[in-house]
Amino acid sequence: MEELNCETVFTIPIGGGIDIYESVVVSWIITGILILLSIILTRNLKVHNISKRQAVAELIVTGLMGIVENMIGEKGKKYVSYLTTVLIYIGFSNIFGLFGFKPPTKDLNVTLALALMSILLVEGAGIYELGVKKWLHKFIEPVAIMTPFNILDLVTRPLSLCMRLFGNVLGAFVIMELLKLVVPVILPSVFSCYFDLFDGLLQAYVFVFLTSLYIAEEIE
Amino acid sequence: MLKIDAFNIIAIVINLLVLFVAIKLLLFKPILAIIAKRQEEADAQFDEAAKKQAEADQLKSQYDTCLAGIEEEKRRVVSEARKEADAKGRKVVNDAREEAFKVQEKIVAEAKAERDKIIKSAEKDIADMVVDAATKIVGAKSGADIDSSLYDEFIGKAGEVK
Amino acid sequence: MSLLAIGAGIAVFGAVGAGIGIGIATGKATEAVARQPEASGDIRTTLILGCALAEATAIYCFVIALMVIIMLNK
Repeated sequence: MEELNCETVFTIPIGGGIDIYESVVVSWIITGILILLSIILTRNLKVHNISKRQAVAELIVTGLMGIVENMIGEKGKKYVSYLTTVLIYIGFSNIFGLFGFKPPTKDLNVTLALALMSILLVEGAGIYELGVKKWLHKFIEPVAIMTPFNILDLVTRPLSLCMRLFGNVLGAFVIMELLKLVVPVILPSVFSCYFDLFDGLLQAYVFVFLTSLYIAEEIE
Repeated sequence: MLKIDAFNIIAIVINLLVLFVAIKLLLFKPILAIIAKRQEEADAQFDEAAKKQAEADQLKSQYDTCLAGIEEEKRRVVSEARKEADAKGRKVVNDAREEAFKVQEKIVAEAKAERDKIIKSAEKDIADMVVDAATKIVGAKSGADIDSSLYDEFIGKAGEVK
Repeated sequence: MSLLAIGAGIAVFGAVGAGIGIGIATGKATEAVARQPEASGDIRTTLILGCALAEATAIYCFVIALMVIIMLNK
């Protein structure tokens, strides 16, 4: 049971003391690794006679951006870079369990933060693209009776995003732990291919897919 | 795990924003810039190639027209030469024909003159013969007998001449 | 404690819906591939996405069961 808990790593002694959870620390580690990776990948870029490293970097960037662009469509081009960042972050977090860390997406705080960012981005995009008046008018579409449900959408959408990611990663984590208790060798590595790699990347894709779907729907 | 803590959420949000800015500045921007640059260069190269192609096409058409001019010139020269040669040949043939005519005429005239001469001498012979015969007949016979023999003789002589 | 376990079990029962949903989706996808084998790539992508979305229902059940056990077990 204590495996499931997200431990408090340290406490900042301000006021009553602020607990910093493990997930936040792991997130910062991931951020550091990603920044380091991008610095390494983009070192001395050339136009011609590109190195293998640069080819890999270009492949990654154009591939991921292509995926996101396909999902969000032509109109939402300016949100592509944020969504791609989220895709990289969630995908990296989900497969971080392979390296012996607890994946930060196993913590409800992280997925809640991601979902909050997503809903803020969706509504912000709606206000930015349509203007406040049209954005408000969206709430009584298609008929006025739908207004409560439209407002409820503001809560259920991020909640479903958050819970889906959290539940998937936690479920995978629990199953992997149980499996490790029953069969400590070989079998967990096979299953972790599915649960950590496939499911983790798929959930990152689903998260970004749904967010881009909401954005595309909002700015339509 | 299920504890929700506002400060941690804010920490994660800040983390995400930092990651977003960092990745955008450090990864996306330079790589997209380099891809755009390459695209630009490729476009420029393509344009240049198109220009060169157009130039080559122009040169080729020029060359073609030049070639056509040469061909025409050649044809013209050949036809001229042929015409000249034709004219010369015809002239030669005409000359030859004329010459031949002249020669023939000359020969004919000569032959005619010869014949005239021969006829003339034959007439003279006949006249002599007639005179001879006349004197002979006058000397030997007379009357109708003479006439007929004279006549026969004349005829015989004339046939001999002819 | 035993009542909590029963409650959690009932909560997880909602995962039946996800199972039915994924079953229907996969069955339709198989039909689609049989009808149009050349579109199998697109169909597979859509199917995986749909399954991931349908799975969310089961995941919600799992989360709720976990919450029932952890939050009420004081």
